[in-house]
Amino acid sequence: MRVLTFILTAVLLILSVSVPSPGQTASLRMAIGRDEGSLNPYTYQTGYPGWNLMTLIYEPLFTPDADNIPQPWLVRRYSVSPDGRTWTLTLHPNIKWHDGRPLTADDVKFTYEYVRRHAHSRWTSQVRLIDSIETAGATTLTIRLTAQSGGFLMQPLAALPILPRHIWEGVAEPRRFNDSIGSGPYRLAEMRDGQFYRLVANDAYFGGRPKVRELVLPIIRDATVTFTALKAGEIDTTVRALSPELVTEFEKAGGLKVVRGAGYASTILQFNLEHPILKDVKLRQAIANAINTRLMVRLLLLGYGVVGSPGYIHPDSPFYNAAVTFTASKSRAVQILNEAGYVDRDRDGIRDTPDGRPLRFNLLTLAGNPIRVRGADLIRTWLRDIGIDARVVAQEDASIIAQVWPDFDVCKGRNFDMAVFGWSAPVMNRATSLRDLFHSDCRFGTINIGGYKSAEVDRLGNELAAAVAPAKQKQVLFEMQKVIAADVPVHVLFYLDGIYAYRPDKHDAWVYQKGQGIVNKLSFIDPPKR
Amino acid sequence: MGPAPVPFTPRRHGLGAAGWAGVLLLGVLASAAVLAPLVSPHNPEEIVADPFLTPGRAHLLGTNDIGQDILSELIYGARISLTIGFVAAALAIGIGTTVGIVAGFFGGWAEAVLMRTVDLVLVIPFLPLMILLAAYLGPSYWNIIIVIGVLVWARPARVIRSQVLLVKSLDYVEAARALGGRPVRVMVRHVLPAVLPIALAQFILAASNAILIEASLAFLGLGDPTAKSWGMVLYYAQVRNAFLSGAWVWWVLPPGLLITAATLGFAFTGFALEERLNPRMRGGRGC
Repeated sequence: MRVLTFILTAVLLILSVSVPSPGQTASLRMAIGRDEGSLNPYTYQTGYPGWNLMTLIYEPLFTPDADNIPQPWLVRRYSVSPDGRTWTLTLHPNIKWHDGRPLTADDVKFTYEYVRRHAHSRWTSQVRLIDSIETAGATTLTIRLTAQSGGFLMQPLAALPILPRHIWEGVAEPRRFNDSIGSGPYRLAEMRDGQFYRLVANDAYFGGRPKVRELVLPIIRDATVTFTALKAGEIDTTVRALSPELVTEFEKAGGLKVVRGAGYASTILQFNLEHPILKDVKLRQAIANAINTRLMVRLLLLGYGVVGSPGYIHPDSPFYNAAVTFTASKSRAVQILNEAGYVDRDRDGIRDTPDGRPLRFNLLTLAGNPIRVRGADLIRTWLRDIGIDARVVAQEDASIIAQVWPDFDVCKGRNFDMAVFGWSAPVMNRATSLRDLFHSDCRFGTINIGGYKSAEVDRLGNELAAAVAPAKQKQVLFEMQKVIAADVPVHVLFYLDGIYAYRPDKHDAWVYQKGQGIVNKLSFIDPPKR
Repeated sequence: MGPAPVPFTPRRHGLGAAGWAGVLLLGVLASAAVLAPLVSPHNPEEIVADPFLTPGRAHLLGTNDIGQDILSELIYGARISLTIGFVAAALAIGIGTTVGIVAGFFGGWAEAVLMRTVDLVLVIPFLPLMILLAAYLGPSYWNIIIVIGVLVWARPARVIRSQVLLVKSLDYVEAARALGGRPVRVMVRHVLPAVLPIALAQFILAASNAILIEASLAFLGLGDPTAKSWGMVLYYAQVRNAFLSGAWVWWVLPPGLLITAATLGFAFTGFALEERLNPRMRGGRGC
């Protein structure tokens, strides 16, 4: 009898683990491109998809919704004092870590203090604004800031995943600490270096039942192999975006569905604003006028993209100023050059500055990225047509960074002429995006890689940083887009759409997060009820 | 397959069938390169149609990823691929001949140092070093030539040195030295002409090698992305997913066949020349 009970219990246990509830996908195979460490906040490797996968296991207090607006997640209620400097947060009462211990305000306080001591580029600078954190009971805490900040909700509140205090308390070297116990809808069940990860739904999750029972993430390094596997049905989807040239092919293929939406990652022509010749705004305007971005979208992206906005912000963003427009014209480019005195003085086919220096520049581009290489080559031919000699120099990522953005620190200067460069989608989503991109003080303009300087943009940037109300943020961003469009510190070429292919018979509950794609938390779990 | 210093019996005056086939292949490719502006239907730099067109009357091999005519790219590609082959081979043979003559002529420690260097270059794993060098120097036309040059010179240096050892002991060279001719003068006036035919055969083989290396480097993304060589056409075909979309039939196969043809052409010619110009056969002639 005892044996029978044992067997029965065992069978029930196995059933309860492996059988999905109705409406839940049993198992999903989603290929990723590389190793992502042990998928905790200090060991994940890539901003995409590593970050997205890590936040399935470790959760921040807020989570951006499909429109990238941060929504309360671990937090049930919150309030901000009128001066914007005191945030009071109340957590959901029944959140548990994967090991069964409760997640409390104490863990939150611990995490925000921990990342201050153990630097991580994504959070450490964002928590510096915090003056003090006090907890009241298990679920309530109060955060006081030294100054009000418009970006605080997005970073760090919606970005910093909470760590379990009872596990991380004594950890001195977090980057070597491979624990994966979080509080998220999935727990890491298995991982093999360089082979695969297996995530399993967390049954005790406070926010309800995940949409997929088991998530297998095979690592496939090569893009062609990945898409061949997807076509053959060996995987159900991949985090890789589909290349434009494969869209028709995959749309026709049976059993596959292709979704596409706005992509917030930009491809830009970055000028070195400290270059003795390129610092002239007239020259930059002429260059922008010579570049046919519409044709670029048609040729390079096969139409699966959007022409770059002169003020950097993507047209689908709520902060886009539609009144700021730009239409390139080759004849205007020639006219600007002639009026500014850039004429060919030595009859070598290349225009020269008034004091006789030829308009000859290096154009850096990323060797491994055919779209950027081809883009640079198109720019070269269009500039040649107006008498500017651009030499395409294709290099690897590391050597481009060494010239354009040494040590990822804008304060260390720059050494290039022009570069076909790009920013990932999250840059567009930050409330302080244009300040980060263009503020002349390198402590604020942390990604102002061109060394752009404008008193007007600095003033607006400071206003933006202090603005908490979305309407105010919008108004300041509208102004900034105008100034940037006139000054052309960068020329935005295009934004490639996010295109993803998957097998709908396996899982069809994907949520397209605007500008970012389908690999996000909302595709796997609905927001918790408040 | 260096020229072994053993008696060589079959004595021919022509190049043999394979040799002539090689010359013919090279001739066709070289004339395509020279006459490219006349025979190619479009300017390969120009965007003439929509990207990713399949072959049709207007574009016999379709268009590439930015709407350039692939056939024209291949015809003009002959220029770049053959030029890189020739220049890189010239560089390699230049180094190889100098090293070979100096080592063979002086002997002693100079020979020891130079020939051990040759051994060293010969045993270094070729492919990884080539990739490393190309990645380090960065992708440009000239860097590729330099990479090929510094990797291919060792074998010719060996072959030429062995010929120099033979020539050095010939009476007229000894006489020139005995008369007090300065070493440089003797090397240039007497030794160099005697090894030139061998250098020529080695040159042809090195060129064949160089074209293949250039194509591999370009295919791996280590070439100059703005130079339209055959390898670069292959590179773009691969990175723009020609293998997945079925475009490989007109985008990958033709440049692949052209590279094969050029390599074969050079190899056939080179082997035939090597056979013909074998030192043993030149015994009584020329001096």
